[in-house]
Amino acid sequence: MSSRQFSEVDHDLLADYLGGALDGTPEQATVARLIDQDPAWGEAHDALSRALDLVHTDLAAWAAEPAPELPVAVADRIVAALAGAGPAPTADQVPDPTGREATRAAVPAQPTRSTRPSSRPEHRTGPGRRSRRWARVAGPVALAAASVAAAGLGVGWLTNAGDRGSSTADQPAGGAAPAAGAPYRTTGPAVRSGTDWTPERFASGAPTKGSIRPDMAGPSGAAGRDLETPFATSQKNRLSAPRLDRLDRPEALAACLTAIGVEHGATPLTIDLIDYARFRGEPALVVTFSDAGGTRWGWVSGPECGVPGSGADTRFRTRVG
Amino acid sequence: MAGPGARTSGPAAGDGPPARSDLELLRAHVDGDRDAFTELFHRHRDRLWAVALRTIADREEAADALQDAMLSAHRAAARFRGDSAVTTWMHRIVVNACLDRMRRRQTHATVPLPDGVHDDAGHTGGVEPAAPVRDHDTALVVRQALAALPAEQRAALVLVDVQGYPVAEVARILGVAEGTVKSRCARGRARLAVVLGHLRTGSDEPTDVPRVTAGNRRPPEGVGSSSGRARPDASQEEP
Repeated sequence: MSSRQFSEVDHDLLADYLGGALDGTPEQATVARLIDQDPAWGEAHDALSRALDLVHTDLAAWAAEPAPELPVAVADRIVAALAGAGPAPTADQVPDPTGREATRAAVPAQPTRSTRPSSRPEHRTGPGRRSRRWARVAGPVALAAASVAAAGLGVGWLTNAGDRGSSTADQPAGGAAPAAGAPYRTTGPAVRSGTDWTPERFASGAPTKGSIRPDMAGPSGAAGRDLETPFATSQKNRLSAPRLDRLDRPEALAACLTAIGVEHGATPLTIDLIDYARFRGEPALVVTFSDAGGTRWGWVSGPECGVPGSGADTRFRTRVG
Repeated sequence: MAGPGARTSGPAAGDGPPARSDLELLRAHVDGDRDAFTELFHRHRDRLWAVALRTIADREEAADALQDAMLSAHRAAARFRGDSAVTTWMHRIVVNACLDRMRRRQTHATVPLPDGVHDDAGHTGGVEPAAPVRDHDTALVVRQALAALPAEQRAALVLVDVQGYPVAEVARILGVAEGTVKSRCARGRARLAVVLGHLRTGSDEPTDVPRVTAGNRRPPEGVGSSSGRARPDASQEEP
């Protein structure tokens, strides 16, 4: 096969297809059609399929090797370090070690090390990038679909949600017209509260846009901690949580909210809060809504919410109120 | 969680008192039992070591990452919420420690995509040069090829394809969606296909990782079996 033929094929997308990452998504059928109808795609598919069989064989051969055992010297060193670490601190004395920030703090062996360089954003190699590649492959169709979704949402406030200089307090809280057939409707603007949500916070009461506004109310607000203006909060969060940037785009947010609706069921959902915030320290989109049965829910989605293959990237959900 | 390749001893059985579960050990540690966390570490140390070593591909780095992770878990045990298995939580801390080190040290390079276009990092270069030996053991060649992958793809591939953990479990370990795990594995395998010489790039540029020849390949075996051969040249990683 020639390089020219390869240049016409999205190999990441083809790999995703063969790896099952597109299963259940519209892209799966489209890629299958391309493989069937486009000679370049068909040839690339056959070549990659054959190559992957060999890769599987190689990996299986390596996996069949005896698993490495921890050397005694290393084990002794770690046991000694644990013995010197003292008793376990209480929960409020330590960060969560599973989070990025905590991981950085949890590397005490080299305390003089400067701050690590920022890692590559997830969306560069993850499925989030697929949407851009897909736009290249099937641009007109994708654009049309996105336009329909965005128009149905009431583009105005969604666009404002991604406006770095906007203040949600200045925006009307009126409902946005849902797209025809959309599994949700919205009743207000998106916010950037700066809140680090926890299950306990959901359990403490039904959060609403109004209930988190004190955190955004500036120096005169009632929250009394880490008070900032909404604009400053927005800027800070954007810097500290870049992985949510993708969801600034109206079509991406629409896809995310649709994915939440699909995953939850009991649609249509009446969404009263969309908060670009954090959950247990990680960037997350926090949504509260009432479903068709009138039950209120709190929903937490990760940055890949709405990405084909990732569903709603759900991190947490609970009934509230 | 128990990957097919795991050789970690579980709770001891015998005439003694019943072994405490992982969760009981963690809670005992939080309550002040000075030996409980060490017991937990010994219970899972080989499996955690295998993940760290195969992910980071350097014995010293893997040892440091594992120690950092265990100290971190030791300190943060009180914050364990029980929303996953204790082993999942421990794996996640270990993998994060490895990824952190890999990103910091930039111990990986990237390989050309099949069409020769620039990858996400703008790299098109080959992998780090491997030892110029001709008769390569499959495992060594595969390890060298894996070292050429981006850190996230390598971690996902090691956990799913080598350690044998289910995709859903790996998603919890890595803190990403299952679709993301599948995508990272799929793209990592495609890159491996290029590095291992199973798939030609558009430019047909040679890679520095020797191909796995037919003479080296063995038929697929059950993952986790222990029918490996001696690998005298595999000094970099596994013993």
